[in-house]
Amino acid sequence: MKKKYLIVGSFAFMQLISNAQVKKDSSEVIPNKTDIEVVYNHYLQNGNNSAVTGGIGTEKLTVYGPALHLKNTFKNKAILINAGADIISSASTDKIDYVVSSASILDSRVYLNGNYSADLQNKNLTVNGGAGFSIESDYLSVSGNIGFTKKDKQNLRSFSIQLHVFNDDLRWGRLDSRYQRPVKLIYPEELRYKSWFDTYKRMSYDVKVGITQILNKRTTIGIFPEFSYQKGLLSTPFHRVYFSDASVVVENLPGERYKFALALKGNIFLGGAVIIKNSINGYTDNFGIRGASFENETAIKAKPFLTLLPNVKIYTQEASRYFAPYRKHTIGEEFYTSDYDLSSFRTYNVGVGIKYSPQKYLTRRFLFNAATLRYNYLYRTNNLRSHIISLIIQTTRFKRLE
Amino acid sequence: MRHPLRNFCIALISSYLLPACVSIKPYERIYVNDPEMQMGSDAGKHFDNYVHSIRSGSIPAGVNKASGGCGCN
Repeated sequence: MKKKYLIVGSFAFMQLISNAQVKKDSSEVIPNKTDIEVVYNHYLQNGNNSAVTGGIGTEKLTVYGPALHLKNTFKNKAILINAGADIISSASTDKIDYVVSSASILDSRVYLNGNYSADLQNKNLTVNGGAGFSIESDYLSVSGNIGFTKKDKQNLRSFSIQLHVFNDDLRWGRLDSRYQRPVKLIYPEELRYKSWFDTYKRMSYDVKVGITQILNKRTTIGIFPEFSYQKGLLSTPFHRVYFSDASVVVENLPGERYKFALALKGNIFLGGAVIIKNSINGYTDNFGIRGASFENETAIKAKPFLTLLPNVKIYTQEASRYFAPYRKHTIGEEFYTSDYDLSSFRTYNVGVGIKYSPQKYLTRRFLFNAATLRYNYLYRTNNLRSHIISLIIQTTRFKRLE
Repeated sequence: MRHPLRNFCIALISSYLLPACVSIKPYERIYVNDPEMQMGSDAGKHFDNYVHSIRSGSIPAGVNKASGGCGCN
């Protein structure tokens, strides 16, 4: 077994040396290649605390999520395209539509993101920028991002900063064949006698910082602070809230939200073929939510081309001060929600992945890198359960040599 | 030992602020260059984090947000 790893390690080392030689040579041989990643995500959920029905009622949901990720690398530049669609079958969404009929209704989300990055090799600097959009029947999100990553000369340390801006429009009607344009906010059917909000816009600003450090031959650590600011319509207009006197209104949350999150990560390559990846995550915001999680993924290289990825994540959350269950809010409160995503709970997420990475050429210029299958089971202590399945197939097409 | 989280934070920040005390030559980077040792995550973990950001009131730091969306279903 160890002999096999020695061979693979030697091969990786030879690749490293050859890459180093490429960089030094003025007549560079830089592959023009496209990394192609085909992804399918499947999500199944069930629970009994739907915010659409005021904190009671089914949360049954199925999401079918195909996606395609392309990365075209040419010289020291790269273009990334991420495109995908989520087909959503949601029982609770059926309780808000104009036509209340079936046990379930289909919705969809389509998204496209483009990114450009350039390596300024003499400065060990990578700059990037991009834009994208995401569209649903009741949502349009347009986004832009810009950032850079700076490495030290020895490639032991990196510093990155990313700014992401989202401009969201929560009006409904774009994917409805009768309108095909944004019409108005969609409220629960019985609450459409008045307009509950005077804005339909939401702006989000997100700043991420990442600092990584290679500590020694087998250990890498990282610290990732993130700050987010949102302004505009932060309530979901079709979430009901039932007061203690049984009257019903639309959820109402403040128009500004500050979020701060911090992640600390450490990856250790143990002896043999085991890699331990740990991370702890903390979160706080001005809605009063406090969250903390611990996550571990252990990569076990069972064979040179086969890796097992068992993983576990435990998350605990304190509720927002604006949350109360069904009929626990009282008239006179300024802000209120019965969305159990903002409640107190603990989440246990356990799963396993299997990665087959043969690095095999299917044709002279088409490389099959890897196929990864993941399954995770998520249990939330207020009885929400979900199954998360992902299949990822990674290939590379080499176009030409310059 | 009473504050493992605080001690870990101090160790992590100190390790960045202080000059790296080890020099790792290119041929010694077989382990740290392994794809599984990278800080990023694959598309499956991205989706898992996306679910986390929707099914809890918080956002996980250090991961890419896939795209905008209400996540309200």
